[in-house]
Amino acid sequence: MTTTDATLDKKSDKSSSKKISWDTWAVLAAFVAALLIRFGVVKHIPW
Amino acid sequence: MSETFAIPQIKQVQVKQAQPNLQFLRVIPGILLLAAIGYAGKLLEQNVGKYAKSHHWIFPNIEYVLWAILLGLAISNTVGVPAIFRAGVATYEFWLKIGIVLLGARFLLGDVLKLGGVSLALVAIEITGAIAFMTLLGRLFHLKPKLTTLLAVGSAVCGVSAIIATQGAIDADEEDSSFAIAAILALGALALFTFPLIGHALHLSDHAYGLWAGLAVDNTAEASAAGALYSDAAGKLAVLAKTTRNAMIGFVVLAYAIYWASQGQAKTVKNKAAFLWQKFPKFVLGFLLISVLATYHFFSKDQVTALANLSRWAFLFTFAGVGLRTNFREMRKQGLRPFAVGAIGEVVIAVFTLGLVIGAQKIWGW
Repeated sequence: MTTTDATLDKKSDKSSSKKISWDTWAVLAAFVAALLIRFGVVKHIPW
Repeated sequence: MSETFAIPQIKQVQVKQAQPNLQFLRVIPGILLLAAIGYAGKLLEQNVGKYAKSHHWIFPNIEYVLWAILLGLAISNTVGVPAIFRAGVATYEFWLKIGIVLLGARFLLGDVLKLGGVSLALVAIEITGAIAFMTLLGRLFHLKPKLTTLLAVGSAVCGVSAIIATQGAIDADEEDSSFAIAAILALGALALFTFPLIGHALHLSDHAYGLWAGLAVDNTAEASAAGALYSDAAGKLAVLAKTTRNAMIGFVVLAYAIYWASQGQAKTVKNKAAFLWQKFPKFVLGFLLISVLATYHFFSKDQVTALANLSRWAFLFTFAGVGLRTNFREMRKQGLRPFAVGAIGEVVIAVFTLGLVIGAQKIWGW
């Protein structure tokens, strides 16, 4: 991590307390996907 | 877990600097690169083996996980990752967390509680032993106390995320966190290649190996990849064990924050419950909730398969990101002593946790 990265991380740590974290966004995105599959909007995910 | 995407080797990954409406556009090229590399890994898995067989060549069956990592490593360590892709590549942790939450559909709650209970007991022993050993090692090598703290947290709990969370909580130097992160990432990259070989050499079961990878590999992405490189079942177990470890992050960071505040070298934690909630990785809750829903048949069998496939795609993006963000040249620049402390610590922790898992395997007969 560069010094600038870390400084910005630290600043964003302070400012992010009021925002939704990426962690939470990931959970929300996963649940939206799960609900789309559950209610048949997306029927099949190939692998 | 951290709320930012930290990639030491790929400079200036700051999605936040852009205007909110432009942030989304900035990540698209990198996400497309992750998708392209991941998909190429999948195609290589399907076709290289077939091609070798048709030409009567002896060629090991290499899974998409390893192909995706190798392709990413090749780009990162040769031409490098162009600036336009960096913000998107940095989203690999986002995909990792989505993958973990969706993976919850493949665990029934009873399994989570049973395996999670075993993991929790092993995790508690691992965290205590790792922190004590890394602290001792840091003193022996005369590392700065806060750098020792960062290395101890990184190797005991949760890799990069834990280091970033701890750095803010104990007011550590940015340079120290750079050292600690570089050491943890370099060792995680080595673990990707050494753990599966050791597991096969010792004929570990999927269950034992998965638990070992989850307990001993520090960064969540590398732990998931190291597990998946062994087998699908081992990958599931590695994620579960690592998620249990991640759940401990708040408690460990809080303990260190209180310690450094008592030394007058960090801010006092006023509201401990709020602090714990802020540091707690929310994807652990998402994983549990999906597991509860799957247990109570909220999803049909076909839907569980679809969720599992979606989880695999998310992990595929993650594994491509693991390769892309690993740059050995950058790691070498970070200095030898923290790396040496990290390396010695990691080897000891790996041996220690292997002993724990083999002991548990005998007790529970996996």
